[in-house]
Amino acid sequence: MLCQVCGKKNANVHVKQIVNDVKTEMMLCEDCAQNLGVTSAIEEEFNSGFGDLFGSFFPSYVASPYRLDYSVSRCEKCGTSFEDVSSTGKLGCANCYKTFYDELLPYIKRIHGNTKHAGKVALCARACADNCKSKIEELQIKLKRAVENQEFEQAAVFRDEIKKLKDGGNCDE
Amino acid sequence: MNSAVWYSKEGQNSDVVVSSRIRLARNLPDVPFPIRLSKETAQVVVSRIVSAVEKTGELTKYDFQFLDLSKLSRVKRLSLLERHLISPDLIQKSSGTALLSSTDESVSIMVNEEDHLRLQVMQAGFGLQEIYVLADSIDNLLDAKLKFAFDDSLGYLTQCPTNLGTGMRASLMLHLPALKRTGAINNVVKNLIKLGLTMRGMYGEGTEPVGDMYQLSNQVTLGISEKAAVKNLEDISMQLVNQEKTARNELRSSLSVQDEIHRSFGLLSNCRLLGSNEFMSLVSNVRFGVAVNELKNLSFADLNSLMFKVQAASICLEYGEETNGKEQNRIRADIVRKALGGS
Ligand SMILES: [Zn+2]
Ligand SMILES: [Zn+2]
Repeated sequence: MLCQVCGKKNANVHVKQIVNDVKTEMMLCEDCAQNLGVTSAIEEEFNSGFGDLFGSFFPSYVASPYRLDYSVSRCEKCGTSFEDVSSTGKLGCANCYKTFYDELLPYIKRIHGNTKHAGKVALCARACADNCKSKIEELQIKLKRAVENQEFEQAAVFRDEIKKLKDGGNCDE
Repeated sequence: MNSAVWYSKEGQNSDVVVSSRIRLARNLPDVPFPIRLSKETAQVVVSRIVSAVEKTGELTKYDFQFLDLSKLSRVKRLSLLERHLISPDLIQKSSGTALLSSTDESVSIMVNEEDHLRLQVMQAGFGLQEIYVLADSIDNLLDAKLKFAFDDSLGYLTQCPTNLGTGMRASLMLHLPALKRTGAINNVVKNLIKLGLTMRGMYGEGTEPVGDMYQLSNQVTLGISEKAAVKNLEDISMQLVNQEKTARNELRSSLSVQDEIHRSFGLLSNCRLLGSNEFMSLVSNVRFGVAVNELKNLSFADLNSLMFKVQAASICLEYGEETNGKEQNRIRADIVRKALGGS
């Protein structure tokens, strides 16, 4: 067998490597193995702490026949199922966190000992929150005025809009 | 090799702290994470990030160089890995991935690795707070253009839930030859786990530390602020730095330690063939010798540069991609001998 890296020399070194829970095996020649010998060790540095932890936090949902109904629900944005998440330890897109929030929460808690972000708030989220706040204030003034003028139909519209914003509805326009 | 690169400089506490690093994981909100990314969409992500960087006037001073990783040879990619600019994942899978790096390589952006964007800032010596401030400001500039995926309760959304929240990994590369010699390092490692930190050998978990180099990083990213995580890591590492210095002072008068230092210097300045593992363990003794003033006329910055310069792929890059193992050992010995003023 020829070396899988250079494809020139005979392969006589068998290398096993686990990267993000995916096991790869390669046959290499001595020269390429030595080249990689240095760097395959470095490779682990990058992976430890990112990703390799997560898979082990999941019980074997995939193997359990009682849990197969989990596979029914899929993220509508990217098609990932919870089975996919538990077997890879990775989510398919940002929306997966909404889709699988309840299922994920216990694992998130086990990884971090916490489920509530305490750090920096992204600019758009901050702007959105400010925007919502000022819109709500504006609507509350209108609502108050409508009630004073006994325009109850109008008031009901304002009330619903306020409720929607408070429930975390979209305010990006 | 560019002499202005970040690792050729000397920083605070350079005798113990080799380097500081901050990494932020970020994603676009409306595109699948890299694991679910088609080739075409991966290219779209690359273009969006590159254009955001180009259109941000405040970032022009970094003069980011763009590299399409799928167009680079394996050796070139390995040399980027050796310089901590890309991850091993990008050696295996490079299609649809890219790197942007500043001229001194201290600021870099990896595109479509585990997350759409990984911003990294590195600095020689001890200085996490400073580089966090820098990383934070670059993050804000990019966020204004890219509107990163964020959730009020989970923070920044990442492909792997281990990075949720701040998406931040802060780490310090520490040289701890004295704590290793006295055996105190084993207790240190056990105690760090309780403090939410991890310590590994330079080359990762489960590997025997090479050259007495240890990487200390935060583990938890959700439920703790960036500033608190950085402060926690700095406080604990300063305790380690002081422990290491105390242990060095106790060891420096030992004749066998002095012998080891001078013997290592002698080997490095006279050898004709030098393997990379042998180099790392000898250069560790030399670094130790410089720190306790046994060896003079050498700086930590010189040794840091040397450590980067003689890695396998970096040698291949400079002396030809076909350079084989034995030839590398000869070149490594030549470079090291010259750097140490040997004959
Ligand atoms: Zn080969
Ligand atoms: Zn999804």
